[in-house]
Amino acid sequence: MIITGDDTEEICKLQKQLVIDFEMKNLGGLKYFFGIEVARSRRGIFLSRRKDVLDLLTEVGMLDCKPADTPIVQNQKLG
Amino acid sequence: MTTRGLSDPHIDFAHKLSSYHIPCGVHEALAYKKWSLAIQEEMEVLNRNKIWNLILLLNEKKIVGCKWVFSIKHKVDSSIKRYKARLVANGYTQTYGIDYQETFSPVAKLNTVRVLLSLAANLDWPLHQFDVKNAFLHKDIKEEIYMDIPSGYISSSPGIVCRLQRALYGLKQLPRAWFGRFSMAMRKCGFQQSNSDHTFFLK
Repeated sequence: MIITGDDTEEICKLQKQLVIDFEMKNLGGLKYFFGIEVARSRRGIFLSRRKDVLDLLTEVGMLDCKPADTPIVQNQKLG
Repeated sequence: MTTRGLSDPHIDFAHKLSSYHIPCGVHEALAYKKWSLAIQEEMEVLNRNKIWNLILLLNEKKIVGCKWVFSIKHKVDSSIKRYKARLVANGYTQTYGIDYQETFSPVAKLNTVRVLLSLAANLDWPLHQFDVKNAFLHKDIKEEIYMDIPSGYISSSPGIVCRLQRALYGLKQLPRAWFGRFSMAMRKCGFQQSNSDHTFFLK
């Protein structure tokens, strides 16, 4: 669950309420969500799906596949 | 597994991932200290939350099976974060209309996440991430569900089954029940559910 906004007070309030309702822990800043790694600096946010992709490739046993720019055979004659 | 065509760090990563052994059954797991500890930990959570009552089943009722699932949680660099054991109900043995009704539950849309992140980047908002421990255990269930006693842990006498008081992982109705409860909590806090993405709450 990601929480963001410009009202720090409201965020705190929500957090307190949710801790009462559910057994919840604050993971702190956003680092990893939905298989996406998130890195943050003053200049912006960087998203990487490295772990997501590697886990998927491991699962389907395709770690040795080549990356392709176009997901289709090139220069294929149709019909 | 083949690692041909991978760069060295990725070969290393892949080898690390596949070098850990994960037990298939509870009996195998109990032979290892780290896995029995994980099982114990999960049992404590289940007991603390009073997931079931043990009852003697007299008349013929449908019983849902259950099993232990083991996994290793990795850190981003693929080193071990923790050993995890989870008891799941075999939802596939449930029958629609008898021990479950509706099942649909929405999942966060990647587009929404990206829009949110770009807003946070541009407006310099702080980002927080929360995680609900044992999200699924929180909903009391309406249906009458009976489950086998978890194997390898409680010594069982014949005829004794678990009458589920609360929802357990693997049950068909769980994701939906959990989401219903979560959105109710959010609305109680004064948030509005977005129409275009039901997993997006605004205030």
